[in-house]
Amino acid sequence: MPSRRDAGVPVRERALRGAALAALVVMAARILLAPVSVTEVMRASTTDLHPALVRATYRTVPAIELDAARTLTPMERDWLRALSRAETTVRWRPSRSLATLAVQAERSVEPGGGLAITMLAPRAMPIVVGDDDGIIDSLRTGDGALSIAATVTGALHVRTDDVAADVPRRDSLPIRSVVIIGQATWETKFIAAALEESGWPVVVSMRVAPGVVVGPGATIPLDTTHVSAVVVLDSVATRAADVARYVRSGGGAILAMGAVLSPAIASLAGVSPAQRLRGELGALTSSDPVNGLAATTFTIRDSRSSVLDRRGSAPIVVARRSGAGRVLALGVEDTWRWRMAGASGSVEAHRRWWSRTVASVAYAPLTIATEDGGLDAAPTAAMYAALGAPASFVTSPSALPKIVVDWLLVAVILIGLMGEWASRRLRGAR
Amino acid sequence: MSEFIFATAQYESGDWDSAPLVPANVIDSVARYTSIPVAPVGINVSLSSDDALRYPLLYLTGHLPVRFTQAERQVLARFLGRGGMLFVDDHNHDIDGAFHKTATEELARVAGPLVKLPRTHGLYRAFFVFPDGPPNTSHELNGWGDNLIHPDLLAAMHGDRISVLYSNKDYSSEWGYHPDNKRFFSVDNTRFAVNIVVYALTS
Repeated sequence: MPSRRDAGVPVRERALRGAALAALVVMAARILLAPVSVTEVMRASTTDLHPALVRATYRTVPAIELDAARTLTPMERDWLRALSRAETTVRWRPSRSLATLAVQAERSVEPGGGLAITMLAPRAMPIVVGDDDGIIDSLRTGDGALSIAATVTGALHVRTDDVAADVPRRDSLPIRSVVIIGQATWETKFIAAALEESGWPVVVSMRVAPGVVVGPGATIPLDTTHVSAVVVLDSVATRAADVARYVRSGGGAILAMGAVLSPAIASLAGVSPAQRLRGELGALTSSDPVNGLAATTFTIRDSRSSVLDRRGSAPIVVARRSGAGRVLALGVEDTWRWRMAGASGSVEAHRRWWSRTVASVAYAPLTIATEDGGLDAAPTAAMYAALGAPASFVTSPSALPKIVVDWLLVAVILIGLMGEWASRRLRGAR
Repeated sequence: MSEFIFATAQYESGDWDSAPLVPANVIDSVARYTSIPVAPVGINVSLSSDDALRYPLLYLTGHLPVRFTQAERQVLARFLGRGGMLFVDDHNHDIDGAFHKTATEELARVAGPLVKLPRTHGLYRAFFVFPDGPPNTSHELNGWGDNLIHPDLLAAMHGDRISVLYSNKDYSSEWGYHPDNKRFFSVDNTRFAVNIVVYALTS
């Protein structure tokens, strides 16, 4: 009768043999049943993308599947796009939610105005804005859009946790004169003062008496090589034809109420006066001082006009294009009262308001980014444009990489066979 | 578009209302010679009130000592800093008088030192041309007051702009008559007032 030890031996050997055989069957099945294309798909992530791109370039790979934990750099995008055009299928999917970030930077048409930066990002997203010299500001988006003005050295860089947008350096814009045409009033004087203090070269033409004009504004040629914008304040628009021609050729004009009422120049504005409203009592020293100024509301006669400001629901500041230029009809009156009688800081606020108002229409020649390579203003959108929308992967994600599984199976076979052989030798069998 | 309003500054000390006919006469001249829209009557405004900031040209005169209150100094400093212009005339025509001594002291505290305004300054060509500087007054020529002719006006500057214009020439007496009586003058003696108004509006 065989001992208990002898009786258990064949079972153990049978189990080891069975394990080795089962591993062999699994290996065979993996080789025979797996589709050829899947086995040749290269999986990559953004952490190891560069070596993967190098491998895919030197070894023909039918497909690359990319798990993106961040947006790609322009070089990575271009590389993948080049591979896709060389018959490598490129599929990608975000491994985490990628923020949509887009940045627009326009050179402000103001003296030393820097850039007007508009950023689009998800609501309440923390954003870091910087330039080639370092960080400028840390901000958080409100409702998804954020606008700031900043002086920038070199390129502009905007970062969220996982998205980086870069805007190339822009050439500075030439600032030319602002011509102010009007009667000698406090409004004319203080608009000129505000613009001069902002750094605009100002040329005035103030009518004091019949045939008496103060300032060289009456004779300066109104063209875009000399003048950035014209502010017309009164109804006796002695240069109405010049202003109209200047605007058609690309110049900017601000027409105050007096000019809007002038038949010679009113057609440029595309509005007609509707109702005169008094300023709200006490508002001049409030947080919304423009409400404290008298204003005339407009009826819009040109459907392409844009309303920039309203009193209640009625438009009081309206902009439109006229020829190649821009015209702004300004219903707000006597803004000098804001400067003189406003709260603390009203001089600066009045100055800034006028400078920005003029900048919004001022003639700005087209500028070209001086260094575009490697910079990216909307990286998420660019990724979609280059690689298409995210797609499902053909290979299913496995807990263990294929190579590990293969080596495990080999180990099982070897251990099984060696164990079975050793067991037989130890009990004296062959 | 608002009209130009001629405003007279009231101050606590002294007799701020010593020349009640001047505003009407200046307003008449501005309306007569220029196309500047001007309110037909002037206004008196307290120098201690923020209302003073609504009138960027203020006229201040008197015979008696001028001692500004703290509120008056603060409002005046804000007024001048924001671009306002103060025209001060010594109604005594007396550089040893109480008005001159105290007013120049007070103005220097708020606006900085008063210096002689060059006779070539733009003020003298702002509308009418006065090649010899400020026009003399009959009070100077008749030897009243300090029995001196003051060839220059004084000014405190804010950048290249006059913020305080100070006169010992007693224009307050010279212009203190009913505008209808201008017809008796061969040359209107209020023409320099037009220059002051035009300068304030255009500089």
